[in-house]
Amino acid sequence: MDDFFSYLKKGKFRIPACIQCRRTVWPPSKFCSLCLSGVRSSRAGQKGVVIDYTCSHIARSKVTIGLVELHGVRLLGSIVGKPVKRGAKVKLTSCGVTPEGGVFYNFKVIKQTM
Amino acid sequence: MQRVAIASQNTAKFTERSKLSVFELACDPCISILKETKIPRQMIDGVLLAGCSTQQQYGSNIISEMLGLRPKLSHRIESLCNSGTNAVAAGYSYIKSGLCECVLIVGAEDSATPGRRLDWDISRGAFTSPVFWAAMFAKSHMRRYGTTEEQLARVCVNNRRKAKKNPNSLFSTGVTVRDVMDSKKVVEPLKLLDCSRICSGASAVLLVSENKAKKFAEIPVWIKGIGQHSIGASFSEASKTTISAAKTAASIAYRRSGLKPNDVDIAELHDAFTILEILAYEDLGFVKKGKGGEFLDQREKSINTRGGILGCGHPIGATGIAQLVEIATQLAGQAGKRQAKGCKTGLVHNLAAAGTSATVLIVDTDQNG
Repeated sequence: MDDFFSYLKKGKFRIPACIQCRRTVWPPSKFCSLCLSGVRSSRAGQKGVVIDYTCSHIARSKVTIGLVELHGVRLLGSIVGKPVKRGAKVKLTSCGVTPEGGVFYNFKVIKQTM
Repeated sequence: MQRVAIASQNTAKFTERSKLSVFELACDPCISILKETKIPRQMIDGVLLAGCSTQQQYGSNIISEMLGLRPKLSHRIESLCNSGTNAVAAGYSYIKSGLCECVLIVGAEDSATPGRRLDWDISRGAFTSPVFWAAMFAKSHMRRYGTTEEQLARVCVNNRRKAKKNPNSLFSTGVTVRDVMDSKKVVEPLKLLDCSRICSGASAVLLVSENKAKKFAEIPVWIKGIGQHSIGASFSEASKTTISAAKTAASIAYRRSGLKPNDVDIAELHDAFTILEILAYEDLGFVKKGKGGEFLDQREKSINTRGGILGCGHPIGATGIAQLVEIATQLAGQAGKRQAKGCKTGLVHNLAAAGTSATVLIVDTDQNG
C-alpha cells in the first residue's frame, strides 16, 4: 500500500498486483486478499472506460463525474471533454493526494478515430 | 430452542445537534426503558452500545455505570450506518447461546460523528460523500427501468408526511413533490430533499429470553429471523441496480424465519437517499425487479411509518435501533396516531457504506396489532 501511495503522491497511478497470483489488488494493500502473498505496484496504461456518469453541483462550478474502469479497478473521478457517455474511452490526466490526505482522479475523453 | 423477544423499547427525540455528551444521549432512551419495564435492573446482564463516535471508547461500560447496571457482557459495536442492527444481531446471539438473558442495546450518535465518511475507500477519489454513489445507483435505475425523478421525490414526500405524526423525528413539516424537485441539485439526479440529514439521537431496545419475556413483558415482540451480508468495504456496485448485500441478507432472514415477502405487513427501510427505498422494495422481494417506482402506489404494506431516515434524520449508530423500535411499537399496538392496522409481522432493512453491508431483521407478535 505504501508503494501505491508513494507513486500516487507523485501524481502517478500504478496498479497494485499480487506477486504470486498476478491479480490486481484493490484497494491497495501490502498483501493480496486472495492468496495473501505480497504486492507490487507497476506501470499500466492510463486509459479506461466510462461505466456511468453524472453531474455534481456541490463545488462552485458544475463537474461531470464518472465511474471509470481501468485494469479492473473502478474509480470515481472528474471527466472533461466530449462526448461523455457510457462506454466512452477516457484517459487519466492527473491524480494525486491532497494536503489533507484526500485522493483525486481526473479523466479526459479521448477523441475516437473514425 | 428458546425464542428472543423485545420486551421494551424507546427512542429519544432526534435533534440537529446536541450539547449532551454521547453518553448522556445514550442514557435518555435507556432511562425510559428502565422506568417502564418490570424487569429489575440487576437482571440486565448485557449492555451493547452501537455508534461511530470516537468519543465512545469504553462507552458501554460507562453508560452501564451511569445507569447503575452491572452486565456480564458489555461492549461497543460499530459498522457505520448499520451499527444498530449489528448490535441487535449480537444481543440476540448472546441470549440464544445462554450467555445472557436480558440485553440492553442502545444506539447513540452525535451529528459531528466521523461515521459520515469512509476514508478507506479510495476508489471514491475526491468524491467521498455517500451522495455520489447514491446518485450513481439512481442514474442506473432510471436509465434501465424508467424510474423517474418524480417517483424518487414521492419517497421523500411520503416519509416527511409520516414523520409529522412522530414526535421524535427531526422534521415536523411535510414537503410536496414540487418542493423536492425544486430543491438544490446536489449530484444529479439527487437534490437536497432526496438526501437524509445526519443528526444527533439515541434509541434503545431491551432484548430478553423467552423465559423472561413470559414473566415480565406485557406484549413481547419476537425476533423471528436475522440475515446479514457484506461484500467488502469499497464502492463497487454502483452501475448495477441491485444492492446485492441487501438481497442476500433478506433471503437469509426469510429462510431463517420461515416467512416470505408476502408475509411482511410493515417495514422500516433504509431510505438514507430516496433511491434506496425504491431499491429496497425490489431487493426485499416486495415487487419485481425494476418495478420499485410503481410500488409507491401500493396499500398492502405499511412502510416507514415513523418517517424513515428522510423524515426522522440519521443519527448513524442509532438508526437501526430506531427502525426496530418503530416496528416493535407498531406490532405491540402502541403507535398511537401512527398506528398501522393489522400488523403481525414486521421487517427492518438497514444498510451501510454504499450498500456494502446490509442487515435484515424479521419480527412478529403472537397477536394481531
